[in-house]
Amino acid sequence: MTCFTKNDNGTEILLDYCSATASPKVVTAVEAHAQACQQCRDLIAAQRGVFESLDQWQAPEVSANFDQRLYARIAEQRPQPFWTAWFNGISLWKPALAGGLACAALALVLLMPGPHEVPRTDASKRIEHVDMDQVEQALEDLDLLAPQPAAGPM
Amino acid sequence: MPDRPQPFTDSRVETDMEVAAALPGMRPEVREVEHDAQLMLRVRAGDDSSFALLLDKHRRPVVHFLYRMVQNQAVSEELAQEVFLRVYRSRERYEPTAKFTTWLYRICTHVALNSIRDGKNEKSQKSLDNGPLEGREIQVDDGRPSTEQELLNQARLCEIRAAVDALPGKQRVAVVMHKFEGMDYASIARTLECSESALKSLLFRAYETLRGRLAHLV
Repeated sequence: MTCFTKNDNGTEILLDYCSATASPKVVTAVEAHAQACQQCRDLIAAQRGVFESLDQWQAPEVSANFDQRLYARIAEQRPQPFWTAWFNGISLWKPALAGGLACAALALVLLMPGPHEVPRTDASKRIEHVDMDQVEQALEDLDLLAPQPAAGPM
Repeated sequence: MPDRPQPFTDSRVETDMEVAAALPGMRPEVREVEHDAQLMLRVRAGDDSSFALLLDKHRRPVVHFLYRMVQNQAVSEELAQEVFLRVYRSRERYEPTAKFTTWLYRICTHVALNSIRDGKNEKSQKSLDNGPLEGREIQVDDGRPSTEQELLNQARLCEIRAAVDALPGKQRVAVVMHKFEGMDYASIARTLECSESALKSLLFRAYETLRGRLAHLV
């Protein structure tokens, strides 16, 4: 049998053997040949050493917020609706908007009713009522004090 | 972008014929496309939940592939985001002319090789030295490997990473895909857009180089 190390096809076979992907038939053939071929045994040992070394190289786990960051980037690149551009334009006029609101508030204050139009309270109503009572009582007192008509002969 | 869409349940899995019927203008051969390509076609049709499923399935292997290419976790995640961003952006033009993973890893390879070429990755001697023990505490006197053993392991890992890092771009891609992604020769060749014989030649040269550099570690 031709040594596996002599051509690319043989190297492929040895590689598959070392990575445990060769068919059972190929495995048997390689192992039978390797018993008598030092070159193949050396290559197999070296390649298995490479695979074992590479197996020790573990990759770290993916960050927990990977998806969140990705979706945020996707959202940034989505075309915005037309009305958002209009709103963004409005946001540039914030000082004017604030001034307008201030004027509206001032106008509201100016249009509010003045102090003379304040409705009467119950206290004022009670005072008037008392005053009328006092007037009526005073008039009755005056009637009592008026001279009485004279009495008949003795 | 709304909150992450809920993935569909098994009850929503449709047969190929139903998918073909649901998407007007679909070619008959689409009925035979593999599952990932079906999901991508749904993304093309506006189903963002299918994109979430593809992300869930391929996030880890993509990040790990890129990590072994650039050997920096932060950069690898940034590049992985770029990969999935490109997948999403090209959804409307997607055609299942090849396996989805072939297309996906072609993007990964392109992004990784660009990064390496442009020197954008933050790989440095510092990151190589810190890699194995990054974020870990050294255990002492508790039955686990001693500090000295940890340091030896760290040195060994540094040599392994340096050996891979020294490989030319396409050889590195071939080794990472073959060894860590478990891809066969045909799949790697399609991803690298070369013949299978060319890919094997590339891979054998890469492993020969690694055998030479890592012989003293065996």
